[in-house]
Amino acid sequence: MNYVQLEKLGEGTYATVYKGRSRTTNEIVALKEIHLDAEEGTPSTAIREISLMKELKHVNIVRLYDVIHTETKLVLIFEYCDRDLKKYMDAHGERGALDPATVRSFMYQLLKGTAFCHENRVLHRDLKPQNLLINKKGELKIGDFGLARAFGVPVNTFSNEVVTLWYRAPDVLLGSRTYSTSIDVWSCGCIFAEMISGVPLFRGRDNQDQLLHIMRIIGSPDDRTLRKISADSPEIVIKQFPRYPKIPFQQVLPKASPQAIDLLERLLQFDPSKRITAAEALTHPYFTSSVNPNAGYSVPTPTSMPPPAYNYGAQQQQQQQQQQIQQPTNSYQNPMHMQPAMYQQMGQVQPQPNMPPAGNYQYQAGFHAGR
Amino acid sequence: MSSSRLLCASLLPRSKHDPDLLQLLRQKITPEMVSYMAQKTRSTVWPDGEVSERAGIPTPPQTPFKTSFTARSKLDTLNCLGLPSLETFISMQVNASNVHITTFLATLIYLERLRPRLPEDVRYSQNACHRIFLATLIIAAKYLNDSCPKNIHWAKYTGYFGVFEITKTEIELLAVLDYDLRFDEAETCYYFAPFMRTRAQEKRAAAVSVVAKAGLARAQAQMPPTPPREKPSQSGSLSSVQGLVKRLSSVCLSSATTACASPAQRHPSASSSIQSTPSFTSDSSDMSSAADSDSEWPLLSDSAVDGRVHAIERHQIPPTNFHLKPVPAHAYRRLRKNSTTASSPSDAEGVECPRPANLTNSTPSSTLSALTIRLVNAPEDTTLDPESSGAVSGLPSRSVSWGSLLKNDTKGLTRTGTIHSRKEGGFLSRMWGAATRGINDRTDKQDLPSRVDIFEPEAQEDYGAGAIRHVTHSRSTIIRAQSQEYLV
Repeated sequence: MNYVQLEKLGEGTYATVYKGRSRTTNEIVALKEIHLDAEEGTPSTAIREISLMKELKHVNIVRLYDVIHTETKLVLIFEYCDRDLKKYMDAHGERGALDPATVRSFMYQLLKGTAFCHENRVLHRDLKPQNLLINKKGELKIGDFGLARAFGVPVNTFSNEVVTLWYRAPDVLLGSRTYSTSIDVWSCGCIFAEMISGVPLFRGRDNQDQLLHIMRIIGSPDDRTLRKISADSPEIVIKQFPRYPKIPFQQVLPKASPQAIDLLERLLQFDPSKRITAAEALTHPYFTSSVNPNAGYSVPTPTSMPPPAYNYGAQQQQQQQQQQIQQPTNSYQNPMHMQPAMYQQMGQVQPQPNMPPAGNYQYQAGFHAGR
Repeated sequence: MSSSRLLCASLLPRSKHDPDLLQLLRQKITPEMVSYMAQKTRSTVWPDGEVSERAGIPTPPQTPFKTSFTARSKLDTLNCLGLPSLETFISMQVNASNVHITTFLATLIYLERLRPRLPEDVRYSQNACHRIFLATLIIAAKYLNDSCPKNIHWAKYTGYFGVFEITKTEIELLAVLDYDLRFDEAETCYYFAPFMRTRAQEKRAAAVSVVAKAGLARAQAQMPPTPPREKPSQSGSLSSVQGLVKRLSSVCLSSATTACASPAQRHPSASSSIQSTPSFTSDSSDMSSAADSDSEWPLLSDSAVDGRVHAIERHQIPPTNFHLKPVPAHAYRRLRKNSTTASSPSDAEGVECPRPANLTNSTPSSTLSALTIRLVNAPEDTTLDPESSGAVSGLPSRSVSWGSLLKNDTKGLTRTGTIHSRKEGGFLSRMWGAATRGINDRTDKQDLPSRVDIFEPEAQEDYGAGAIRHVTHSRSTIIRAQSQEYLV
């Protein structure tokens, strides 16, 4: 093997991750070792992870460098990241809660990576802090595509046993199999709230309990919403739910800025069709407004791993933004009333993060399975 | 609201997809697909055509001509071990695993990708075709489905390979494919095209159903009907129809079709019921549009449609002086003499038209002039599409009257001839048999798509049953969209 195996980094359900070093370039990599079960053959999760990740080349997605496939094990060689978001929050946050600037940076990068997946018709289906990796530069990278699927060609079957329970969207909890990119958006919302507060937002024990946890905060959906959801996904069986009133997010997350609350509101919509898309979320005033995101917060404590300083938008774009955000409360009140043209226009001049170019750690040799 | 509903197989709205593709993916795996898959597997493993491909022969893949003696002897050993033919192996896998058509057909895409990349050692390894097909199918199943069988299950489905051997091939092929497993809809449509009804054909189908409706309206307007008096006009229309047949058969050759036919029945006894039917030709064309529009119309070319209109118009003259069972218009496409006693020498060309004189004068058995009907069915045509189902639903009462007419006829048969009494006993079972036959034939049949069969009734006694079969069939087709083929 062209890699020296170093210390163990972690152990998952079907794989063990080691730190590794390339014999040729001395580059530090992550080695994800998948033990092959004699009965199963190559796990379908591994097949899909490799197939999808070798296509998805983006600064906010963990890069897959190589695959070594032998008869007893399968080793995936990934770019190395120091830790996952969960550990980062534990290490750097204040009881887990990150400072607003870091939250804004990570959230932006998370949505960037997610939007890139969706653009390429890939659902991640397991977004959670443990699967988001943070490197020394403060770059967030989406990893673990074991549950990811390509969609868009009518040849697939999809399960509704997807996404870790606490980050699972209500439509999936209800049993939908015709979910869409909106389930990743829900997970992003949960992660957003968790970065702000330091603790997971909805912590249910099982499917039903998870739904109740969600409803206790965002309120029970009205009958019309439920009917609409079951009309869109006929496989759902709607039961009677207790009627909970909505609790304002400001109450749940007192530290969050109004713009953060507004974005969270749009990410955590019970009705999947009303959830904002990842691409739209990137143009939300939370990221684009020139207003100091720290206004109304305590001054962020400096961390040893500061996130990259994003300007979240080019100069000209900020001017555009400001014009449009003259009436921010109106245009953002209801996602249904959002002006798609506005988002489109913004989307065309997508803000580019001030980041080092991705080229300096690109894998030179290309992708060669097992060679 | 429903427009926002997503398709569970793609998670996109239905409108984003090629309707022909969706139509195909609702079908079941047919024997034609299995033989096509076998052929593709062989051409993947031996792309230079080194192997002689004689499709349909129930022997294992032939020894590559240019292989060394050792390779050949290996293959011989394999034959001794009794590995079934690739076709049999594939259909065994399909039946045992109950694999979905989408997974099955996606294998075609991967086989195509493997073709230029397959290394020599894999190509000439033992049982290459069988193993490569199986491993490719497993890869497709794993990639496309959230839950799928383990390799050990795949191994047990047929029992010819051990799980270790399967996994080894799977690993080899994944490396050869470079885990390049993603494909888009355009690619899907391209590789599934042999089994897809094209949109042009569908448009024609729609046009034809409009014509059929118009024909029906005309027929209803022209009551009471009179029989065709002038033979020239008949043969004129017939020859135009014959022309279509030629064109049709060339269409058939390019698409996966099966065809079969059974006698249409004519006899003199059902006079009371015949009066309720306007004209045999127009009625029969209505019938055929009701019963078969979804199956055969799409294959008609535009000119065929014109010819058909022509034929319908010319046959507005209804029968009065003899009792004729309505003959489906498509019968004219290929009318074949079946019983020499019932036909005159002028029919020797293989074309026969209703001949009242013969009918009235002959014995019960010979009155049942056998018309062997060529029915051209494309396999994917069996699900009713909106147009044709519209045509069908427009004609419920007609089908019923047709049915009752036939019942009367059957009674007539029993009364007039002893020959049919034997068949009479199995009437219900025959109806059931006819209704289910479509499926059974489909699964059992090893015939290749490009073949067009002429079904010759074994004996004259069959005709009554054949006609009944016609009714049961046309009705069962309306009800059961999945039936793949019919006997008319």
